[in-house]
Amino acid sequence: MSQNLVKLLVGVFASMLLGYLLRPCYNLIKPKATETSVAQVTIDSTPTQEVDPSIDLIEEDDKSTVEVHTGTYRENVSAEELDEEDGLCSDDEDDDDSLPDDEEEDWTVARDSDSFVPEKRPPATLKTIREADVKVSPHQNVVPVACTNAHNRAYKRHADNLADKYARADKKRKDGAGYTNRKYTAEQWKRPDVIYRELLVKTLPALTKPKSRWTALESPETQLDLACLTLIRKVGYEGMEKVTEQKMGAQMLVALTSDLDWMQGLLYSGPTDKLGKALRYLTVIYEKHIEQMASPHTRRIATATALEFAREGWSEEDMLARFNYYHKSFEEGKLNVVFGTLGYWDTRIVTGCKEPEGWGSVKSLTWQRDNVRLPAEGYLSACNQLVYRLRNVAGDSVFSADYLAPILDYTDHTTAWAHREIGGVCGACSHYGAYAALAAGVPAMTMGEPGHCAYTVRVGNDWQMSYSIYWQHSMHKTFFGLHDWDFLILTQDLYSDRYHQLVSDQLLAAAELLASRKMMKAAFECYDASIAAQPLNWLALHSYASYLKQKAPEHKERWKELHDKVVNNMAVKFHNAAATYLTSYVYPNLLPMVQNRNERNKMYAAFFKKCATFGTNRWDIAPLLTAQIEGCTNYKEKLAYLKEALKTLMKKPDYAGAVLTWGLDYIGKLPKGDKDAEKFHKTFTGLIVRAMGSAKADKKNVDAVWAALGEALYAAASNNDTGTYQAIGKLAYRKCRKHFPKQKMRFRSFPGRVVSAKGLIRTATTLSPDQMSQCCLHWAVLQKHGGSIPAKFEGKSGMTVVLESPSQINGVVCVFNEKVKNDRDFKLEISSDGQNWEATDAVPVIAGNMVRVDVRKEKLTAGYVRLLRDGDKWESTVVGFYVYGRPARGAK
Amino acid sequence: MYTGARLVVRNDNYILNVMKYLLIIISMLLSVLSLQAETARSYDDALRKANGKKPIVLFCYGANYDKVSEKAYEEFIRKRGIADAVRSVVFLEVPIYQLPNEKEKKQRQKIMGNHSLPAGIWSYPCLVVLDGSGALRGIVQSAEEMKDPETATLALGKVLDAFEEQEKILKSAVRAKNEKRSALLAQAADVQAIMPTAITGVTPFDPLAVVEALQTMSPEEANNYVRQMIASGFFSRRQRQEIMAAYAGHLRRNGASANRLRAVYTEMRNIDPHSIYGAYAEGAIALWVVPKEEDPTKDTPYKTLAQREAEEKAQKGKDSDSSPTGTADDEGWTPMGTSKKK
Repeated sequence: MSQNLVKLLVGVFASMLLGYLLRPCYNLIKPKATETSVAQVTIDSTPTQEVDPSIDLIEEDDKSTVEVHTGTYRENVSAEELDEEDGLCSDDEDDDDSLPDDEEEDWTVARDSDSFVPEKRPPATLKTIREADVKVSPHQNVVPVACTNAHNRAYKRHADNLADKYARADKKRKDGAGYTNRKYTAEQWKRPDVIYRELLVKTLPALTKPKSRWTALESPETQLDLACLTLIRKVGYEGMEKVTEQKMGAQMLVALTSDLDWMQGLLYSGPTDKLGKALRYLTVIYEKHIEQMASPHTRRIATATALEFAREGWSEEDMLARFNYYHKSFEEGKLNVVFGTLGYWDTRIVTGCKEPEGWGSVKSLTWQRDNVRLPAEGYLSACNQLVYRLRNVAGDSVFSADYLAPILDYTDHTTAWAHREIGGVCGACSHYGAYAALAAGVPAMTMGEPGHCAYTVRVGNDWQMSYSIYWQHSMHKTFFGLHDWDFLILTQDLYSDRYHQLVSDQLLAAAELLASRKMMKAAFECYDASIAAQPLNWLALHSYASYLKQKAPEHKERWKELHDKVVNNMAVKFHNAAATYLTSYVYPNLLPMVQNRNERNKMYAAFFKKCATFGTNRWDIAPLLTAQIEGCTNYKEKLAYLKEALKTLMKKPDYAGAVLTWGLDYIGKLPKGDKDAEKFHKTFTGLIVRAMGSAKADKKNVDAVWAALGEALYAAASNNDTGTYQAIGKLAYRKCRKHFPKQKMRFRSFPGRVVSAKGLIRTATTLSPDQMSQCCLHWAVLQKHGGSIPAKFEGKSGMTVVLESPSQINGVVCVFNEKVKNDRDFKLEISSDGQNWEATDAVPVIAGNMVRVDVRKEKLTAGYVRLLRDGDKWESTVVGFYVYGRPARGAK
Repeated sequence: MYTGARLVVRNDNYILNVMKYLLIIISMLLSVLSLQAETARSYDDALRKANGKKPIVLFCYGANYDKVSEKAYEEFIRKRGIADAVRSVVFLEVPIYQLPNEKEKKQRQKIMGNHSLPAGIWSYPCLVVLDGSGALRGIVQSAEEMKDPETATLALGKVLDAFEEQEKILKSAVRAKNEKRSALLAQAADVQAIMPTAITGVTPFDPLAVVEALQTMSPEEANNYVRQMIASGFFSRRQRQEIMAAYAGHLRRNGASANRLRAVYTEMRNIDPHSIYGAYAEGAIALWVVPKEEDPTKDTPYKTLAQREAEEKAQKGKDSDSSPTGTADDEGWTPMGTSKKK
């Protein structure tokens, strides 16, 4: 008996010990979906349970669910024990100078700036806020209930009042002088830890209580104190000390931290990555221009340049050169008057323009400033000043160094000038246009499109595109690491409303400060207020999602509330941004807790309800739909989801084509050989075709239906889905007959029947939106009446036809819409699997607008046929493509 | 009575004096007016005043966004800095607005009506020269040329002179026929003014078509093709340089000797050493012909044909040993002046 008792006691003790040891992992392990209604979740986080109260923000892969925080994350451990105590959150993850910047995985600089390929989306990451090793007050150690509408309204009202007060105070100011308060001397700044503690004692009580918080933020003194705390917290003691060790570093800190406007410009004008380095850059400028730094304009230019060059990891030398260029040009009145009106954030876009050694070099900028002086809207057509030439007059390709080489000495290695003399292609033309604007101080940036480069210029507050031919734009300059057009406009809207953004950013700073002091309740309240003040504040939303995941991953109500906030505020205008946020941060945490299918569908419907059109720009809805369908646990649920989604989205002309394309892509990727998957595939296809069939193609809608079917047809061709391709083609022919040619094609045929008519045809060219809307005519190219498909012949790219089944081929006829020059040869290749190609010996004959290939002698059997052409790229339009023969024996 | 007569005499003198002064003032006014440009109020007014004969000069400037333009306006217009240059033309000020408000839109409409500025303006402030029909014939727009009224006056004077010269040649070309006409048009294009686009009879020319045509040719064929084009006399200096650039590029990519390339690039440069393709040729020599430590072309940039031929002969011997592609003759090249056609 006693032995059993001992065993029991040992077992209990062992399980307690195990539970104790595994506790740190608890929050990181995704909980199984259980529906719980939690009013208040109390999390026991005694100081002893904190594995490492370090100071850094840690990049945590969203997908990795278990990651134990150990001391190895810290870079400053041995150097700064004080940091541990105070829970500083250094943004300077690269501050260790031994690490070269380019070794870091930085999504904003990793890409080739000349690349036309749309930006690869960075992985969804959340940052873990490290906490100080301080005592936890039981009163603060709770997650407050999710905000009700009344709460949100109250927050909004407070924020509006505060923003109004800021605006009024700004108006009252004479001669632009803002609040200044020289509190600490240069000597004192050499001990940032002392300052930090002193400011904490002074500021924290006011920020902790909801009532005093708003009043405190009215006071410029508290605002400045909060900014100083944020600065030290983000840079870390070691980072601050590095600044004070620089020549004039401490003096610069005194000047900076005494001026509220300057501090707010530095901290609340966008991301503050590598803030320590930015401060050191700022000190370098300060040292060299100490007298001019009294001017708010000089401060703005210096701060913006320092922030961006630090963030991008560019050299100090280039940073100084860029600062000098803008500073001197502005002082001499050589910039567009727009530059004088910019805030800190848009100055960062201008002075932080890319390529400090090419288009953004001082030489090139100076040349463009002096020789391409236009009103802001004039820069939209500045790209036309360059002659579009793939080869220069000597025949050298734009992709070789020989293109510009002979002229570089003459143009003094000035990129813009050299291109204006010799020419360029889309990349050079777009860079020329964008950098002409940037050289004059007008915000602009280049953007990648598939196989193309375009650019955008801000005219007034309106970003206008130029040289654009596709809807996919990947901005080459971004604040949040997200490159879609929607985020540019979101950034514009966010910072245009300066006072609400200021309120929101200060509350965010307060939230992060409180979080680092383990004041969870107050931190959550500040996050709530920050998002209510400015629901577009991406940095606040990102930080909040991180904190929520860290502190209350199972708090369904809070996740649901966050979902609703994003849908009701951001999704109204920024569908893409909202979808990205939901897909990256909300769904992975919320969906496992929403087991009820109806509840889930209701959530999805709420989002789709906001999306009548594409919003600021067409966007890729596929990741959102995939995330939603992946939330379904079985095929039955998936079908139900699909039915619902199709029902909602097929009614919206903008989305109909996109949702069909996604559906076809999704089923194209399902595992083959799996019975359930195949059944699902079949039902899915049926659903999609039925959805298309039910779309009304009356006079009003016929163009929308035509475009939607075109997109779906293109997707089917991309997925090699012959059955769906044919189904869509026939449906389009039935619904939109007027869009197809009426007369039959006339030419001399080959013996046998047309074995390509029930197959599909693919082009190698990238389609523009206009071409995409005409894709149903691709199907018609295979039919007797003919159609139209843009063709591009270049190397191994040409026109590919998938036959309905493997067939014995007698001949091929390809009809173009123009007379074909007989200056270079065509080639016919065949394949049985679409992967391994075999050249035929047959010699294609060019006759007028037709190419005929007689392969009767060769007795070929193939499932795929492709036509290629020798020499450089050649583009044309194919109006008919016919493969003659008969299905091979044994073929289905 | 006496007093009265004296008074009459006095009055006569007074009137004479007044008339004398008036005459002086009127003559001074007239002389000033004759020195002033004929200023138009609007684009249509300028066309009317030009009457198809006089050139029109537009001063286009950024009116609400650019301090450089404001400064230029002050110095060029208010202080009459370019008055001398525009004395014999019809002159019009064209303000350019950034995001114009209603008032500015009206102002623009009042000046330009439904006309738009000709394509080719790259920067403001600038001085645009149009012919009497409104076709673009020259622009002074670079920062260097527009830096002050004196420099701009000089530059504008040159453009106006070139315009006059070109007009004369074009008049002759209109009377001429066939080949002579083409040659005169090429001559007109050599003048540093912009050719009017409406003119007919200009030999069509696309430099990239030359590149494409040369691609499949042997060195000898390429040489003959290029020589024929150049000898035709239908092409302007710039076009001849572009033809030579295509030829040189073709040779370079096909492994021609340094000696050969030097000759072709030198010939290309000498067509017009101060043009952009003159500079291109100079750069090409430095890049692809001359070893980095030496550049003999810099010492003797402008060689006569005889000098060049003598050098060629002297170098032939050297190159025949060292060049992997053989002598210049083997490569089918004929220097300028010895082409088969000539």
